[in-house]
Amino acid sequence: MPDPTTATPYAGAETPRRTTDDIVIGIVGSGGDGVISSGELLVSAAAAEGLYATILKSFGPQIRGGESSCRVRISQDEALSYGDLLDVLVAFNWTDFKRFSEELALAPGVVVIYDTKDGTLPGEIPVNPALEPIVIQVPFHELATEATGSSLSKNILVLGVLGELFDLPTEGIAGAVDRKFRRKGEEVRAANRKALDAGRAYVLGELVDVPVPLSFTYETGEPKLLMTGNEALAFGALKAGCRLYAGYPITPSSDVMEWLANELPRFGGTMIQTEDEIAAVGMCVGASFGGIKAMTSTAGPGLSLMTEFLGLASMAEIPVVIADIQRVGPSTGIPTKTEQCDFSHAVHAGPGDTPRVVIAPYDVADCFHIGVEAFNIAEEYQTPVLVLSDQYLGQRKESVVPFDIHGWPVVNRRTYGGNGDEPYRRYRMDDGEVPPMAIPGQAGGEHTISGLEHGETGDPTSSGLVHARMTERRHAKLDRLARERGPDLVRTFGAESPELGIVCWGSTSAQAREAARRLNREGLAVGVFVPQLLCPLPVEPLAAFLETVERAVWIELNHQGQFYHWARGWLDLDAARSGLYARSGGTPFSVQEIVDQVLALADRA
Amino acid sequence: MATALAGVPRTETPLSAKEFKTDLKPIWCPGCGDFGVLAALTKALSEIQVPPENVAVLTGIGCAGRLPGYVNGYGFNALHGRVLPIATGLKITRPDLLVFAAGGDGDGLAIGAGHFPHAARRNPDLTYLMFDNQVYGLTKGQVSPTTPVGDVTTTTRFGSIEAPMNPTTLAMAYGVSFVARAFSGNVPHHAEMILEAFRHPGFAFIQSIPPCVTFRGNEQFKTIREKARWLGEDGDDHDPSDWGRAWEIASQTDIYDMSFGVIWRQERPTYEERLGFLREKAAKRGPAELDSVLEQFMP
Repeated sequence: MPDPTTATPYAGAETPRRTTDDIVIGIVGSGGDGVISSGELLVSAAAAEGLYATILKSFGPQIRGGESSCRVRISQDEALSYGDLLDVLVAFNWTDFKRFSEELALAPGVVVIYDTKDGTLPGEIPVNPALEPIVIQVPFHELATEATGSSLSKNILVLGVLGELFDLPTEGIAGAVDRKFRRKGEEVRAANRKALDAGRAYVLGELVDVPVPLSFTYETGEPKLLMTGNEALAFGALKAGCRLYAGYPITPSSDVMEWLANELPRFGGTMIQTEDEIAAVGMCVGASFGGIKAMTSTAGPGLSLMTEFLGLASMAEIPVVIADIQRVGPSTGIPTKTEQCDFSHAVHAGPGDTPRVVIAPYDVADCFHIGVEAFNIAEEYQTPVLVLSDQYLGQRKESVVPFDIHGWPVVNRRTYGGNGDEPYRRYRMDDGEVPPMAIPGQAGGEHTISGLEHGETGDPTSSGLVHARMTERRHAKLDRLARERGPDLVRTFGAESPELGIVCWGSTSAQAREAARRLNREGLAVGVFVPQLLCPLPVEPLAAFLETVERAVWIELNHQGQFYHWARGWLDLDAARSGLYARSGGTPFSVQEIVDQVLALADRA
Repeated sequence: MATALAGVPRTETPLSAKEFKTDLKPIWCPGCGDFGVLAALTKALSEIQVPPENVAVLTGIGCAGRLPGYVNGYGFNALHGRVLPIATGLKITRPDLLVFAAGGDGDGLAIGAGHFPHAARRNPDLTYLMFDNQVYGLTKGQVSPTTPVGDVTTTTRFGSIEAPMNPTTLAMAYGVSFVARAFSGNVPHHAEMILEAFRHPGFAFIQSIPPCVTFRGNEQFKTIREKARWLGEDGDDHDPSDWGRAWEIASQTDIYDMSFGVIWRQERPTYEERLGFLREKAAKRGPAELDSVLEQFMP
């Protein structure tokens, strides 16, 4: 075994130990290495100690046993993004690291810890020497086997090493490991505790002289919740009263249906896995016709199949919620990577003048709120509502400050209150844009609806005049929504009186907010405008924001700048005062990328 | 064992068929076979004693798609080929409704064919009636999945060269738990078939033959009536639990050489029944309270 204390051939060894309350750790390995499990235990430990934490996972294309990686950020202040650069990299082997190296950018002076078993010499590891990494070899495999009789526990041993090396909350880590193995019996629990202790002991015994440049300092607080965006969205739907989820498995949306499959039945609800996405949304429309709140979720390829039902729900005015957890497109694209590329489809899909609502959550906690809000809007305006989340938001696990699940208002559709004395008119024109809906079972409210154009009673018509009036009424619902709810469904972050603005939506707002925070600290007044309501566009709040800033850059994770061009259809943008930064690529923006865009904007005279 | 229409309210006395008719004038051609199906349906509805507000008539697109507008109840003339997902979504969330789904042969065997086997295996307690007139009527006379080989239509001027599908053998192969065949020229018998479907606990399929006088000629009504055989009548003693004979009957594809009646019947648990068991199991996860759900997110 090489002597680890001599395995630090770079000048980083001279770096004085710096304290930080914000650390980013990457772990990479093969399927059996337990990489993801290690990362999840770290965030669990952090959340239990009241810290902010987030974990972003990445997998190779293999169904099972392929390479996987995760990046964990733990911080005292709100961890808005996944953290651009790794302060610490743990590699079980270098072959797997190479597959993820585009996503795992390293910070200068990064501490690199790798398994001695890999055999690569410290000077030959695939890490840019210019970064002056501190390189440490640890015999994870050997130590775990020694401590527990099995190398399987090496991912727990890693946590002991990391905790001790960087002063992470070691008690919290021990608690998280204990909780994880609570149900596996005392023997397993004890073995994992041994592995953890062996990791700590190795650092205290063998690595005391290694000049580790980082020490994590923190204050404990109230425990935080830990959830993924997909779980939060599904939980929001449950809270809103969703009682049917029908869906077809698709990455990265399947966690929504898997979660609801567990939770809906005890609430008297149903999760049904359908034969395709058409049937999924069809079942939702059928249930909602029966007065039952229903949702489906999918990704781009599934959304394209759902388009015909989107039109029907819009025409027949049936409330339904469709979530699109976007992934790289077009077509099958890259199922495991993120993009904000379905915006145009979401707002435009379908033949005809088809009103629909599109909303987007901006962080994990907001996925819960938007889950409730999507139903509230669908019910109040009797319309399909599309929720645009994405892989980055849906599948990252994040600490969430505990919130009041009961305080959030839940809206139910207006229903028929008559007694059959006068004929029921489903689409009456003299009772506002959203007439009450008679639900099967209500005597006197019997009627027939269809995707055919119809008159007030729902009976089909070929009259162009009636069609024009009905089209106006259906679209008037959206105008009213933008007017009444638009101001509540936008968020502004950053400087109070911003000089420069960032306009973005959905998951990109995490990095945009962090970029603004960084720039504001440096004295540049930057504000971020994040509309949750995307269609209808809340034009007035957006225009007001653009008025307050000198210049604004629009940032979105797609090639075409889909949202930017949509917004330009609604308001005149001064070309001299606006910039667009839109790119594809499947990886979320880094904070630095956005900072650079804002700085470029600032330089533009 | 599941009971048919479990949880669906009933009236104390039968209603009249008139109470299930609306004032809307059908768009169907004079002499269309669909009128017979409509008459049979309203008759069966009046006899099953379910109040109109608990009746849902759902259809796809086509001549048959217009049916809901002519029936007093809650109706939905939805999308081409998509009636079964809508009907399933409605029935499994609203078991207190009598759900009647219908569509044409093109609707159910062409564009919507993918949904049929899945409705069969789920076995929701609803009725699905296929108006099988062997032609696309609403779009004016194109070949359909059940048009016999050689038939001339607006899209097969030289005769159809594709083998027709057989909805009844398909239904049996898919595991549909009730399969019947009806002729719209015999309204009392057709109404009886719909009633039998209502009384069957599970997914009930009826292949209805409503001749298309406009695109398939005036002769069909007369000839089918002359040649039809009626299961359970005139010395026929078909037992619908006899798979072998049921398959033989289901295999008939010549409308002039057909047996009408209940072909196949099998009792097995409905989706709703199994859902009930699933919910009992799931209840062990904890109470139906959001706070209890929230606990899983504690680190």
